[in-house]
Amino acid sequence: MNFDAFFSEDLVFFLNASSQEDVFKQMFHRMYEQGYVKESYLKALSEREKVYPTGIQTEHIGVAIPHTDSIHVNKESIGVAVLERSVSFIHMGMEEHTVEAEIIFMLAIQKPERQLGVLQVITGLIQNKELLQSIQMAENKAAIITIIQEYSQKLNV
Amino acid sequence: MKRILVACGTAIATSTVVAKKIEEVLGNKGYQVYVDQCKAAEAPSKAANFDLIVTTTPVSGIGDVPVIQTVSFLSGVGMDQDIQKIMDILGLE
Repeated sequence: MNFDAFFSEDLVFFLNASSQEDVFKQMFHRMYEQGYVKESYLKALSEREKVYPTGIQTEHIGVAIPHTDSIHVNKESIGVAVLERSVSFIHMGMEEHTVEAEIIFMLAIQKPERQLGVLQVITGLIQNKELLQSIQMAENKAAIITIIQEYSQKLNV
Repeated sequence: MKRILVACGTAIATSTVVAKKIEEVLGNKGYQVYVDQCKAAEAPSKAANFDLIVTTTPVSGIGDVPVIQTVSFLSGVGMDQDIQKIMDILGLE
């Protein structure tokens, strides 16, 4: 996997957000400004989230992996946001459950069948309590990129 | 070979990793299975060709094919139990 093609400090966020919608707007704004996603991405993302929610309760914290159809993506990338305060997401596959998400991985994906590597990195992070904690505790964007990079090298995908 | 269909909302991200994970875990136990993926909405038309459906989101209209709805392959929580369920349904020892 070409790590630098997906992750950059530009797309790491420390967010003070009031709601899921606010998280989406803030992350979208930068991803759109830098040409990663099309203008239509935000609306498509919100609509898909309503039908197929992406909150996931891990062993330790809640996370979310919002994403939408590839036609709204210009250049593949992953936005990573650490939230100052958690925001509520509906749990994937469970309409009646909400998750207090503290870390967001926003996926701008074009060809899923060719992006298995990066998706395995994300899933691996989600399942790893220590790594999620270290992302939450990271003091700056560079530290978060380093954590993910080291993990993806270890995973060797 | 046993056939598993993995479904998720839009087949963009989650079914891809779930399919790979199932293949990998069962492979490590010595079982070769055929795993395909689809959108939840496509599941009813494809279900008949499979022994089991694993889905992250509710599916309906798939007839008699057994269904496991779970996000354990993403969250890591409860994954071992789900692998056991899959093996039980498919008759793998």
